[in-house]
Amino acid sequence: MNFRRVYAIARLECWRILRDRMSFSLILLVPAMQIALFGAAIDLNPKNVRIGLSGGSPAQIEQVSKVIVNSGYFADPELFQGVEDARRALASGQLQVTVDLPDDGDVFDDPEQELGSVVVAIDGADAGAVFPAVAALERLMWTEAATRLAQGLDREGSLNRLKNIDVQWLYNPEKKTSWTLLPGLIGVVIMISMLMLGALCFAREREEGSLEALRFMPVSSVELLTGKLGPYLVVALVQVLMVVTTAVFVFDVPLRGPVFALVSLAILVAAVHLLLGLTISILVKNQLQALQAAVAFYLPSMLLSGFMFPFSGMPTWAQGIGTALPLTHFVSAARDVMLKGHQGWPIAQTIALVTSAVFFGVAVNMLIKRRL
Amino acid sequence: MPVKPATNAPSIVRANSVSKFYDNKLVLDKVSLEASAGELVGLVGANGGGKTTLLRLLTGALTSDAGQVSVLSAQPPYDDMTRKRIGYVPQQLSLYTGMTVLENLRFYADVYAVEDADRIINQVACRFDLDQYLDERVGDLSGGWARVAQLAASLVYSPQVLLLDEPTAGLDASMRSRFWAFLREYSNDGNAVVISTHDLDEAQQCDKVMFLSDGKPLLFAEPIAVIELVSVSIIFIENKEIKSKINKISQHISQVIFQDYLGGFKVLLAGDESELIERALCKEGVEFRRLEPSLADACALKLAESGK
Repeated sequence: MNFRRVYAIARLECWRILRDRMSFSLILLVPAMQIALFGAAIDLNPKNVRIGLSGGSPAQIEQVSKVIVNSGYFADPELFQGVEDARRALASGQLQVTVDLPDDGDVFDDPEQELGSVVVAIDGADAGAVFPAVAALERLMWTEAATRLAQGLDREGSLNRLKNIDVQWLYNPEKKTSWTLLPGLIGVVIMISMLMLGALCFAREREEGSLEALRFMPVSSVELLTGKLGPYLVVALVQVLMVVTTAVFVFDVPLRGPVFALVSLAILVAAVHLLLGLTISILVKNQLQALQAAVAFYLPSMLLSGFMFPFSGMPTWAQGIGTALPLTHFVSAARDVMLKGHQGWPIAQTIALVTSAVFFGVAVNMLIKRRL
Repeated sequence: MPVKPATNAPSIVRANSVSKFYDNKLVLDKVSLEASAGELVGLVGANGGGKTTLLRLLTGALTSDAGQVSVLSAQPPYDDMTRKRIGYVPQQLSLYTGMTVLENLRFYADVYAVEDADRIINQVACRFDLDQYLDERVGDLSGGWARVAQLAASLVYSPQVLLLDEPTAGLDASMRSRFWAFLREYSNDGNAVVISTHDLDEAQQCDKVMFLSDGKPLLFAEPIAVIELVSVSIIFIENKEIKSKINKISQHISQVIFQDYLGGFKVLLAGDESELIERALCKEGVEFRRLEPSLADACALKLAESGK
């Protein structure tokens, strides 16, 4: 081995790395972002879980509210007149957990009276996001009961009656991880492939030289955009059908809402990421930069969208970033349609995705005119 | 700068005192160029002379910092109708290398909405013997054939103006010859062709040539007029050993260039100064003969005059 030759090759590589400033910046940015996200944003313990209380006497509500707040997992409970209202809020995503107290007097202080059940209903569509919180809630209610018994506030037998805390995991009764992950995975698969395809699109043409001729052709930016998007959206459709079919038929994930809503949302999120990828590909100089920029985008998308880690466990700034990411809205919408059986398009998420698509569509159109 | 209007036909390609800066560096300095229908105009000059920049300004890919360009009476950014009438062959291969030649030609035909595309594609392909490679991927072709395919693609839609950036680079002599014969024919059909090349012998076939050096237009005229304007004389001496002697004789001459040529060497000098050398050579009994100057000789002397 000739060390001079090895040195020459190594020096060449160093120059190549250092002189491509954008690549070099991204090489530093991606690990820094990973460290920041895992260190500061990701927390497996959810916080500010949205909880609602219905039924019960004022004393019960006060006791249970105290237990809920002291757990550290939940936001201040919202009070509802009836269990139906609370359940509607749960179904709409406004709440993640509801506690329905029996309307038959003080649970702990009147042992002579026949007690009803405390029903804890949980949005199991994102079971991971609330599981630690619900476990803690159940444990703390038992502790509270035991404490009260020890203090002589409960008479013999009340503890036995308290076992009637009825925990109901709605939409995902067996708390299957696959049920929680697979709806979101549709979006993740599409995001990665569309972002990559889009980011490489013009970057590859630039490197191969065909962009020079393409710029000169009598093709409008809209024609170019439509022609580029069309085939990739067909690819996205095939991917969606593959993932959905696998999820439903292999992993038994229910598809309770309409197929057209899920597929159209998936195509929408594919279009958003394609447009974002095309934006990247116009701004970068080569394919390496394009890939690095795509990774720099999809990494936080995966971590901050609520696909893998509980959204409610993140600090406010991370939730802010997460809310700006299109994947976050798709993950939530896909769970709503597949697991919660939402009929039609979930409005808020759909509006967010359409807004993203319009924003990036206009951005790409402008960039094609000005920068391509 | 001497400019000779070649024809009475109106100019359909025009650059009017255009300048261009890259990162505050002047790369094109008040260049004016005109090409009429039926004219073949060559851009010549050393690397970095500004040929590609001028062509890209004409295509509208770049915008000038001063002056104006127009093609077919339109100014950039061109509308679709104008674009359809301009053919552009960039310096770098711009076909899709993963696609076959036929697929590339079809793509061009579709983008430019060519009617009877199959017939035209066959016609263009046959003209350059490209029909044998139609099903080959462009990336698998030799550099020369890829360039031919590139030219064919720009001809599929029969543009009225053809802008070519060093299209003959990488072509063998036979293909170059056919290529230039085609360009001549194409311009004779009433189209304007602007071509950049390093090869001054090739450029001699143009109706007019512009010689660019460091972004400045040194000459713009018919090749024969360029030779006359520069007034270059060439003396060929077979005996290389007396080169130093000639060097001594020519010390008082402002511009003199020595070039190795056919086993001997050529002495290029301004026409009115050749007599001095010739007299000295006769006196010394050195055998020499006069050669007809070419465009390359004229440009070499002009370049030396400009201090390059």
